Amino acid sequence: MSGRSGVPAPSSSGDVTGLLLAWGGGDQKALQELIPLVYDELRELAERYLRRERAAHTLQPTALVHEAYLKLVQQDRVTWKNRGHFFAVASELMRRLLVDHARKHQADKRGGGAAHVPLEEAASASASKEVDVVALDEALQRLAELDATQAKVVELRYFGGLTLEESAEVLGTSRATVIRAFRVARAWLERELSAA
Amino acid sequence: MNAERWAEVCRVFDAARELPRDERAAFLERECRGDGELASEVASLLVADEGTSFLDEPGGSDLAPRRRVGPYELRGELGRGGMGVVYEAVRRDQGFERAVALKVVKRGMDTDDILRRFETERRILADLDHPNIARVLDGGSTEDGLPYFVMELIRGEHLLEYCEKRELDTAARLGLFRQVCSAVTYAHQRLVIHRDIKPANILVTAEGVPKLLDFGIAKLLSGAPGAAADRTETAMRVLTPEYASPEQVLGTELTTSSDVYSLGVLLYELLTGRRPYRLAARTPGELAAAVVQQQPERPGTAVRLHRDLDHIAMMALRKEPARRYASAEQLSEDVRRHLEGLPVQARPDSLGYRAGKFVRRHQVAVAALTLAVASLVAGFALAVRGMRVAQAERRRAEEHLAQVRTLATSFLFEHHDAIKDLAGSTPARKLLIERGVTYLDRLSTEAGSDPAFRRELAAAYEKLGNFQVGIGNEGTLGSSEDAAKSFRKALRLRVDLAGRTPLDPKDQGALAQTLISMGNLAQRRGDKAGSLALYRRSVAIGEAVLPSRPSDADLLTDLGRAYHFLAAGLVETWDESARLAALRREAELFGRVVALKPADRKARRNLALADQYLGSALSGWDDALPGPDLAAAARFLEEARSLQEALSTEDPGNATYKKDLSSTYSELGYLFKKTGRREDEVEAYRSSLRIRLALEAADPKDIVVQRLLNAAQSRLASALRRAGSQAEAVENARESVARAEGVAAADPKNVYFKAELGQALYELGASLGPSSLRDSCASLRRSHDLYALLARDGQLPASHRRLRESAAEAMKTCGSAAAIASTR
Repeated sequence: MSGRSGVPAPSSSGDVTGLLLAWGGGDQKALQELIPLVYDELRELAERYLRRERAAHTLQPTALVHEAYLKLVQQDRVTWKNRGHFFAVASELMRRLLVDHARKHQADKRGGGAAHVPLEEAASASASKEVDVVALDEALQRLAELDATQAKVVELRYFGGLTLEESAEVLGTSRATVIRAFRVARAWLERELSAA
Repeated sequence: MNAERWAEVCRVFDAARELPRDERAAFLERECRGDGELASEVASLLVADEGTSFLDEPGGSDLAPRRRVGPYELRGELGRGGMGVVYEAVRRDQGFERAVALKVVKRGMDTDDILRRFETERRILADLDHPNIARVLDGGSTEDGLPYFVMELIRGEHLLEYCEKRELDTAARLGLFRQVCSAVTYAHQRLVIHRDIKPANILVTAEGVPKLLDFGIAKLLSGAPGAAADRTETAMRVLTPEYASPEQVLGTELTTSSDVYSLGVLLYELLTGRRPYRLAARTPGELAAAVVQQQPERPGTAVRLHRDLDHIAMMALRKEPARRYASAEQLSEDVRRHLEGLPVQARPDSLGYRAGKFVRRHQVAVAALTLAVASLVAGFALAVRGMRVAQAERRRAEEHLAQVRTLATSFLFEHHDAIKDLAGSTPARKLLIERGVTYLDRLSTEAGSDPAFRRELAAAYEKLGNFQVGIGNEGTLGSSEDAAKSFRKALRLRVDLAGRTPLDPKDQGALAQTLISMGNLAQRRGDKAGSLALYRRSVAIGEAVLPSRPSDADLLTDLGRAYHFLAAGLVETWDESARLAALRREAELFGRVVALKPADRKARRNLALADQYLGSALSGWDDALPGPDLAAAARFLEEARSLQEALSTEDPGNATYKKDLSSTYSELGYLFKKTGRREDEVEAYRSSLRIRLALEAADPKDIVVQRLLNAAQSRLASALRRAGSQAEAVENARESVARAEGVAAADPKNVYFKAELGQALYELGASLGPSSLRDSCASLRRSHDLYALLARDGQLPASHRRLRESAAEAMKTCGSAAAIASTR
């Protein structure tokens, strides 16, 4: 990853778009190739944000995902559906990335290192309430066992910034279902996380 | 929990969430019949649902283009701002098309919370009818859950643009400014604070009329729950920092004075074309610091300006709310004086303004208290100055505030309680309470949003309110008006606290209790509908929390009490089935408490009272009510009696247990009357009277004992009369009238005291009977007139309705007797 500048190589943008289209056409292998590309981009973006002092107020997971999308995907080649799929993948990756960082930071703290601003702090600075990403991740895993759709909706909206419509499209369900799922998931998480 | 079970929870949750809050408890009870786990699972989710969540991100999905919002059809975008997007919209109603402005609030604010607040403010805002105010018409939530507000559509130019384009002179600008002031004054008189006065919120119509937009909206949006820091952040997000007052920037509680400050900024800009604070970098934080710390340049340094206008603007812009113009009206008035060439009130801010002056103004007459009060006042002044130095030194200011706060609370609680039982301490107590409250009150402007402080302040107001309620007692300090004011202040704080911590049963419980105190006062003042509404709110809060803590004895007790008062209030509605339901629920709740704590005397007392009331209700206190259940009544009254006898035996010095027992005897007397057991009836009333006479001997000034004694005696008189013991009946009736007169004279506004006097008079009239017709009729006439007066004002207690009829009936006999006498 060394030597990569802020501007992605033109080929990678083409790669991602091509893979996205192929995946949308039913090619599951394309997804396997797509994931690492998106993940790298997200991590790159996140780290760059965090290196900039503490203007981290502007850092939001959803903003990162969006920026990655703008950089990686040639918008004129993809449809609205492709876009939704990209965000669905990216939101899952964003979640993984935030959780990894948080775990690593917790380990660093125990080891007495960590001079840089930890990712979850930055992430929570953007949200209206503090949230422990690791606890959220675990709670979402528990919720997924009860109702996978509910957990997914939260992931899409919180980590990917998808709208209700986009979430419904990605999940292949109705808007009303997404709204209901989100409401109950929101209450459940609020209770679980505040009880801890 | 498995997936299947969870699906069931979700189903019930979804359904409950669609219902109004006060119907949810009943719904859960129906829906989860016997499944406590399901009920408490859903209830806890509903509670969590009310709170804010990290998922309510300020980011979130943006305001997508939309075509409809609720019943409104959107025509186009009028503007975008910190709060969201404003559209022009129309609503079609029976062929009419009405154009309005519709503001959709952007994500990041808790829709439910905003709408809840909107519901309480809706009428007030809609009633703001002033030529310079754009009215708020409606509100709701969009399909995807964003709050929106509908306002009168104003077509016009922004105020500053309007002035610039037409190159208006100073006098013309001041004229527009005064119109804005009149709008603000009008709203302030209706207790609405604008909170976000700025040029962008003022449009001038083609006719040259300025219209102030968004009245009350900022409050709906910025009162979001959270700590002081959050609030400031919210304020900064919602408001425009350049126009926000220092207290707004600090996130402390706001008064109308904050609008006066913003009017000052507006005036400044109208006169100079610039804002008071000039900064190189303009981050919100720096601006906030400037607003709190920086002394603005006099407007006259920028442009040629009359010195009066300098002084006026600077006075409105003072950092301490108390030192600004006391009202928008005064500000406007000073501008008028300037326009008419009269001397203005505003003076340059003197640096010599010192604590000394403050202390001098607050010298305390009572020598023993001088030291304490002086240190309190000095501490307060320091604290105020600390605020002026502001954020950098905020911590130090906070320490001062804490000190003052401790002093103030010790005035209210320790000092007061220490002297409260001393004879003749009333004036000193009055002073202590008033001082304590005054200082806490002042602090609430300076230090307001700290929950612990607000709890203290609420408790202080409640203490004051309860003190003021102590009607008729020697320690009376004020009227029920004052008490109502105090409770209202307490309520405002409690509502706010409970809103921030929907999961905390303590804050919820305290809110429920305040509602009960207010309900009791409203009841006493004859506001029946008001008191019922308050009790119902209290009950709803308790039922909502209960499913999540079904074995919390404190919660059960509080809720039982709420039902107790609700049932008492329902007496006046003639809705006996609702009242019986409330009483049964009360008895059930207290029964659960006793099961949890069988040795607890308070719990047993509560259960006994519930039984007693239920027994009384089942005896049917008015013939107009549906069939009484005398057997059940006897059962409950017997249970009450045995509980109360036991309590009185265990704790013989306790007057309360004796009072309770005497009441149960009285209820038993009534039951015996109904079942025709005349001797038992007389005996029961005698027992009641005996206990109450002993109570009176122990504490001759206790007004409650006086009333009880009075009631017992007048009932005994009635029983004796019907049993044929006329002489003894008259004797008792006379004593009871004398006592009732004393009680009624002590608080002439109390409708119950009056009604009870009416009852005593009737009983005397009836006991005297035809054998002394003149005295009998005089007494009956007084009774009749008293009741007629109460009935005329709609204040006749329902339980006296029959008596009133009886008095009127008896009067007829007197009328014909008098007619016979006069023809003779």
